[in-house]
Amino acid sequence: MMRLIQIEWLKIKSLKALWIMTALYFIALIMVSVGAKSGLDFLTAKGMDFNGINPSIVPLYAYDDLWQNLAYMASFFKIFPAFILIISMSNEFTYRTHRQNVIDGLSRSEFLLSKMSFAAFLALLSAVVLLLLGFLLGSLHSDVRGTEYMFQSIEFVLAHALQFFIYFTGAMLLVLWIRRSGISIVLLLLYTLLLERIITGILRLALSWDDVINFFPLRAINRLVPNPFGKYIFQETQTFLGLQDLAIALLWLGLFTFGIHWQLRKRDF
Amino acid sequence: MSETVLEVAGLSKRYKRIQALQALDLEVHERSVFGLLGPNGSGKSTTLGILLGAIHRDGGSYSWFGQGEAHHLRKRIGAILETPCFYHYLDAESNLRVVARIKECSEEAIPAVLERVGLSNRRKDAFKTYSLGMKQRLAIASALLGDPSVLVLDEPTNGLDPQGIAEIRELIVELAAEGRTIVLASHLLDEVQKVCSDFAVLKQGKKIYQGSVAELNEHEDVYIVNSNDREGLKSLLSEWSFVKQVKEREDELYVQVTEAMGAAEFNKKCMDKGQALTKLIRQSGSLEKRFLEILRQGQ
Repeated sequence: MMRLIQIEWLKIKSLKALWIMTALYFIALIMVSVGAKSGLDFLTAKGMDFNGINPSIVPLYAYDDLWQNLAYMASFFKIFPAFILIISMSNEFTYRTHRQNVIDGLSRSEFLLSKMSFAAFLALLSAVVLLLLGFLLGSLHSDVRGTEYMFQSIEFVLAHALQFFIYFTGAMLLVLWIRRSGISIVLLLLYTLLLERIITGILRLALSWDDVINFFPLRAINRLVPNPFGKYIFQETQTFLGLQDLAIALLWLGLFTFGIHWQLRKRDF
Repeated sequence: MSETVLEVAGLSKRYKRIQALQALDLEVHERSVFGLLGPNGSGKSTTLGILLGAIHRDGGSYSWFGQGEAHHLRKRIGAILETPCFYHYLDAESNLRVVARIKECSEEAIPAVLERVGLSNRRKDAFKTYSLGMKQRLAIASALLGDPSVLVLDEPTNGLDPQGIAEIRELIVELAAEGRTIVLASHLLDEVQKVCSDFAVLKQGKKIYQGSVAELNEHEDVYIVNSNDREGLKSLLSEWSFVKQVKEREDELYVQVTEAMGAAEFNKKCMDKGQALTKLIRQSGSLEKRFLEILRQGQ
């Protein structure tokens, strides 16, 4: 396994687009998580309120809310690292190096594992940064301190890593199928920002199929870290990782992995 | 008989409408330089693609080193298929480092193989800045990593200038002399003749000929002759053991000989027997003709 990770690392370490995208993602993540507080203060200054609540008193960085808050905000940026994976995979097809790798003695499964190890690495790296940000912001702003609170709900950091990994696996299947980075990136953007929302919107409003929409891939992935902010305006809010949500998300992980495997087996390199 | 490095039995492949390979059988022995000869689109690259795990086959089997098809066996083979495939943004050294990790061989061999193909001074430059000849040489350097006993080369001189072609051929001959087994696909008869010991001819996915290059060369000498005493000349030629075949055409005789001799010697032999030739042409490049003949027969 170490060998497969090394191979991927040698391939990508001098790829400029990779570093730009990675930097972009982490800057966005840090800016939003640190800047969210200032944003709320700004809203207060503008005289805005949520049903009579002053936005600046929302305890964004208070344990144990903090982990779900941060993970939820981070989920909006998962498309950046997904782009990196798409680029690194489509490079292989463009340069036909995926073929040369196999000719040189890599099995197709090893090729796949090598790519997936990179996806897992990015998801874990993001989780580690989230963890560090959480401890930093918590120690600066949280009014409750102490280890008994700090580690509560910390499972959302793991949920974040899993969420990213499943999303990356989906992106990988897409690029394996399309084989071109441009089209894959546009399709992923369209689906993530628009398409699934439109489809589930129609299903919910026109057909009232509320149960079905939770099975859509993006929604299933997003529900690993549900929107936590409703509770601040007294809406019913899920503040735990639901077992059913986890099961549906893992089902998609299985489907994506199976799809990738099938693409690799079926097609000529 | 030396050991069999590669055995292919009944290999078939069909792309949607084209039968790319039909029940191909091949056997490549240790230390031979085996040429896979055929016009473009005859199935050479498909064959090599299947043998190297890149293309799925529909039927048949193959075996490397008598051990089957497992992917790890390919680590002992140095191969380039069609165009050289490398990461454009990486330099030569980094590209070879990736290959070394895949082949699980030491990176220490990298400077030596780069030196061998004359790329040492460009080793820190990105692949995308290379000329076609340099890309091809890097591909050969990559194939040499891990000191493989078998090399598979698909059209290694494609797109090179005459000097580049000569260099690559010289390198192949050197590599063969080191005792490596080489499988070389080419559409150039001349190339196969210059570097190979054995060869097979493919046409539309079928093997239509297999033999040694030495055998093929035997058929080389053809004399086109005539004399005023046609019948006398014919009977004289039929007496000689080195004459393989005499074909009669309108105003000439077409004589195939098995023994290489100059036109002067042939003329002298006829004069000694009292036959004055009115026409004597020694046909050169008849290997080409022979090849075309094989292709025609395969139809």
